[in-house]
Amino acid sequence: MNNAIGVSFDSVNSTPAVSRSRSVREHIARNTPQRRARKSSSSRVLILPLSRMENDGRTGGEETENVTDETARIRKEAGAVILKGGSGVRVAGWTIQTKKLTILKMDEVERWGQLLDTTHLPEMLFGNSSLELTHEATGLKLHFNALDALRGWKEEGLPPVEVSAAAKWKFASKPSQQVILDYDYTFTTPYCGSECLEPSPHTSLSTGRDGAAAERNESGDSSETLTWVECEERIDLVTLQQRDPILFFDEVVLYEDELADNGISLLTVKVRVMPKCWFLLLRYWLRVDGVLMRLRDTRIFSKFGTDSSEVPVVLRERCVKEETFQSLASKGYPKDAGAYADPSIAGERMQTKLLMAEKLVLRR
Amino acid sequence: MSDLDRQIEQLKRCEPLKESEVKALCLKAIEILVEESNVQRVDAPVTICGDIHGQFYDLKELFKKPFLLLLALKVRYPDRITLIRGNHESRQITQVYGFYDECLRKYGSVNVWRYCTDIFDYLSLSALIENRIFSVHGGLSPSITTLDQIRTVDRKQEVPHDGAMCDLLWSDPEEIEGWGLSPRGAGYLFGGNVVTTFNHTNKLDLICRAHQLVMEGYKWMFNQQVVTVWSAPNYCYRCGNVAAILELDEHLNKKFTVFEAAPQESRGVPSKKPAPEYFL
Repeated sequence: MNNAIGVSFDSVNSTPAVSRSRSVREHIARNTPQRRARKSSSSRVLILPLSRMENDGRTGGEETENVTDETARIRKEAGAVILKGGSGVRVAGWTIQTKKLTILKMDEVERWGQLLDTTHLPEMLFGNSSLELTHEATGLKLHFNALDALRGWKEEGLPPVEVSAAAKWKFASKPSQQVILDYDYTFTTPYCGSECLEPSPHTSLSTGRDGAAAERNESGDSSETLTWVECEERIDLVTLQQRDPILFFDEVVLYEDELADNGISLLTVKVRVMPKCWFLLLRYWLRVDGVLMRLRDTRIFSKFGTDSSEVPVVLRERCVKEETFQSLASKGYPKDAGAYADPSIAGERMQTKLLMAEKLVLRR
Repeated sequence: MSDLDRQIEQLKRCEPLKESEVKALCLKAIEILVEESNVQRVDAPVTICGDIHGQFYDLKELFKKPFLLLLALKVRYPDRITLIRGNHESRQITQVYGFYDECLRKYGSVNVWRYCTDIFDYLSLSALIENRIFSVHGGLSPSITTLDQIRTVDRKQEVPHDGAMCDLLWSDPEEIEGWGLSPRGAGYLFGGNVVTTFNHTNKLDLICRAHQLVMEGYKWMFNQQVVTVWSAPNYCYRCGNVAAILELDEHLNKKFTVFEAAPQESRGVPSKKPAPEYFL
């Protein structure tokens, strides 16, 4: 029965764009030159010019963007306030914010190695980047970070996948004494986000603590717990397919590794906030060229209620897919890695291993 | 001004050469490269540059050269520039990672890609600076104990999937004793004691290599017996790393110079703020 989830998202992916109203197109045309330059690739998207600079963690001044009347009207109607530097939005009782910083420095990498008890970490580790969604009235916080994801990687501890050249190496001459490293270099993770209850509303969003575990221990009220419970409800695709203006959009890479040119391992999260809801996709994507692909998608959705002080309904759908190149070839699909550059398209040919829908429950 | 000087100026302005010019340039380059040793001797003072990953504008900012420009400069000043082969200088890798498509797009045929990849086979495998500093893209190989063994490798071929030539371009240092095999099942890792032995046998002070991304642009390992130099700033246009080059004076005193990425405006591409999308 759960099949409906994957099928519905897949079919939506290939649905042609809904035709746009004239006023929306005009709105795009009025945008800044950079925005206009991008129009060709994303002309279907209504963009509010957030004039966001790369958020480098500095506390910037007030936003000084030039907002068109149309943008201002849409924001005002939605009751949305753009955060300083354009790094997020406050709307319907939620504060949604991204942090995008550089890859970790050598001393940070060393510290993470100690924290995770490993000497191997992804080559591009955006350890200080994150996405956080906080519901102010309840203190409910969902957050997405590389450290918790790598905790999941350590815990799952999958055996390494051999690259296509490995078969030849087995017959090559070997040094007499040789250490064989056997960690999962693909950094495959079951991570589907972290959640916690902030002690009280309006507490600091970035206290610099490491990961969910620490935060849970430190959260003030131990009588309240958050749990994901399997449910019949599904993410509201009808609402998501309405081309409502996007108040805030961002994509954050948590880690990436090129697997020594044997493919890609990539963990990203992207979010879009509309006047009626927010929606995010956390995606782990692995392609070991000529050998194996893994796609682990977590979609989370929350529709805004009429009363922003009530506990929000947060739905999560997880979809895990895996496929070998051998099996693809046996079905007559191409075997070259180039055919599987886009995970959304590759996913359509991959076998589903898990589908699950859950609801976030706050127990008092 | 000679044709070559004009071409160099043109490449510096990021204007492509004609296909016939690329062909002529590559033929001249082969004449020079074919004479070079697998362990090309280099005199100090010298500047060592690691991976640049074709990030042209950054390269222009810090060193002012991508592949064809580097090649033109090599032909113009054969004794002043030494190009050594990296793991990406292979036909297979350039097909996957964009160079092939770029040639097709710019020239409408694969000829330029073919001329350039033919050059790869002639690139030297390593350099030896004042007999004391060994410079190689990846690292050491379990089938190589002396520099003379490298000199006997037949390098005029596509980078093989295993063996000495493959290892020199692909291997990585690792905090282990002796040799290690990557969990990928292909690719060697070499420990500190392997380096000590190699450097002692070959009377070397230092192995200078590239191949791995480092946030700080360079990284010392094994008691300063190995250094990694990475020269592609803000790798993939979002890592935020700095790039480094290593300058050696005539007494082999070392000085690292670090660079940030070229300003966004100069490359004429939109900023990296992602365009909003109605993803599902």
